[in-house]
Amino acid sequence: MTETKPKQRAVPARHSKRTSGTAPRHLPTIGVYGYDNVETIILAALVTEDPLLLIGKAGTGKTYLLNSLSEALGLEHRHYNASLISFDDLVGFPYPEPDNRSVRYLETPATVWQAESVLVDEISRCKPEHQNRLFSLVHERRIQGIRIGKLRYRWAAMNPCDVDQGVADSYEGSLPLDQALADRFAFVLEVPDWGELGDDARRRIADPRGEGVISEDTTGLRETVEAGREKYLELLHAPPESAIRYSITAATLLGEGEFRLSPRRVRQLTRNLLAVMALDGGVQREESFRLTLTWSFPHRAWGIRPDPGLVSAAHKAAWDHVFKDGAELWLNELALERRPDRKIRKILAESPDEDTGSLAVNQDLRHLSPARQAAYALALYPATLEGHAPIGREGVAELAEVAEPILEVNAQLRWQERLGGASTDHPELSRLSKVLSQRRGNRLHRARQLFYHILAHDLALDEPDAFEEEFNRCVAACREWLRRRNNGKGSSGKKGKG
Amino acid sequence: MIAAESYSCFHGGATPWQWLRDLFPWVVWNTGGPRSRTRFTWVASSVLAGHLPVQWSRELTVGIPGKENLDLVARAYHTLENLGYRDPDEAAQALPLIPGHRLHCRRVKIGSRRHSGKGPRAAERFLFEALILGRCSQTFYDPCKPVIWTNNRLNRGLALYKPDRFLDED
Repeated sequence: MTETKPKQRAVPARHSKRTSGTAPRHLPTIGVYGYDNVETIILAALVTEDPLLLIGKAGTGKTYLLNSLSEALGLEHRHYNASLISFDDLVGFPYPEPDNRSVRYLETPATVWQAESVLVDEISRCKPEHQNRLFSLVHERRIQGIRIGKLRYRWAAMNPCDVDQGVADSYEGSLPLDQALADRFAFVLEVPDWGELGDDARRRIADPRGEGVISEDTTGLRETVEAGREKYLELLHAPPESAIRYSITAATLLGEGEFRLSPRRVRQLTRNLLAVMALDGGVQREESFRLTLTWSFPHRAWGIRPDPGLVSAAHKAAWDHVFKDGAELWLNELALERRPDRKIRKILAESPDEDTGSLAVNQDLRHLSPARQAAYALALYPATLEGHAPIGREGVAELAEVAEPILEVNAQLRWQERLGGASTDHPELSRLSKVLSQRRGNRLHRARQLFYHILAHDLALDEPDAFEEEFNRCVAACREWLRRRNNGKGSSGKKGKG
Repeated sequence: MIAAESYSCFHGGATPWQWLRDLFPWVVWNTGGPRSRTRFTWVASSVLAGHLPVQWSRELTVGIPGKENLDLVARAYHTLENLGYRDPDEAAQALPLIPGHRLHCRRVKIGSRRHSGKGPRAAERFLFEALILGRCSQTFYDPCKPVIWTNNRLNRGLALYKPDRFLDED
């Protein structure tokens, strides 16, 4: 029996250098090799700013990875060894306030108060009372009830722990983490050992050059994280129903396989999915979902490894359940398409029904910049009026809302000019006028209407010429659809009432 | 320091600043005032009015004149009953000239002299406009939409536009 795999589409242009789990971009440039398959998860943890726990054997680069990340991101970093740390190391020396009514802590470069990222190494080796204190640090970003204002990232690392200590290959003193603490880590990641590395990663790791060099962000790691975080917060505000349904289904199926996820963990799984989606430009990819599910279990921290077969089956069933009716899958494929004119063609030609068409319009408008939204709506809205496009009323209403202010523009533009200098024109108007001077006929009139709207609303436009080309392609897509539709209508003898 | 008054005597009434400016016109003099000025220009263009080839044509203007907050819903149902229709959708099917395609709509003011509600076929005319207003959302008219009558909807004045040649090639 052959298994049909959901179609994987091309990577969107904006993220073309990074495909989930297959083409890492950032970690090798900061000297971290062998983490190719989990780079997406590490970036997702940076995007959510939720706690991350790495589990791995000694010398697998856990600490190196996390310290390098903080260097590359330019963070005020603290690295504590949980097996050696005393509480005073964390908070500083306490001294009473002059009024003797409260206590302050004497800060040192090692205290946690100014930290932006904290790495708690060997977390599985610390005393239970320290674990309790670390709990509030990991969970609430607080120590002794006091909030650590700047703290963004809470990371921890540990050696694998075995429930049955003393077995071969186990780490003496690395105890299972308290379940309540472990459940606070969004991702619990097992890092690869030598035997699991590819040839290239092995060669790079074996090469001692560059050791001790400060990691620098040369590939836009910070930019990726910031853009991802922005998108993530947007998705968190209005999470796609499919991500929620995936989490519910996967958790239920895992529960049926006697692998329990707490309700909090199910919620966390959805957050994790949204973070990975944000890195994928808002798109839901099957491979990213599988990876996210795999590394969202806290059980490894207390020595229980999920059965890979069970996880894989739960993922497959949940993915198929969410996307089985085809509409979600189609919407997902549409979201992968970056060019607005192709989005329009796809909606007009392939939308399975009006409701899905409306969802597609809503999705497109959310993902496009304001200027591109305007171009998209100004082209598609008239087409939905002229012919019955497979877009429901909600979709048409959304298009109308965006298009309405473009149809009539009457605005005052203002700019500053140097006194005593030559008289100037509005700089943006001049830039757009140059593009308009190269256009003729109807195309010129449409472009002018759109450009005036952009000027009136001060919308950002990097390359007006390319933008106008894109708008014209959107118009052409609608025109062709109308022509085909009218030809079809003519040949079948149907006639509109109007 | 030379008093401004004595300067005026020497240089035909010009103030010292004016005199210096005239003497060294290429120097940008900082008088402490703003060194830039704000300029304004207007951009105006419409595809709903005017004579552009991509103009949207105004198909209809609908609106029921009279005082606002008048109970037009009651009047509409009364008219519907008088004309022998069971419900608004049946009337919309039966009345001629009800547009059969979607149209863009925009609010306009309705002159009080538009059909006064008197004269022959005034009831049909009123019902015609009420049916269209009942199918218009804030932004577009949809013939497939059920007629929904509310006083807010019926008290609007709307111009209905068709995109016509907007998407056409030259």
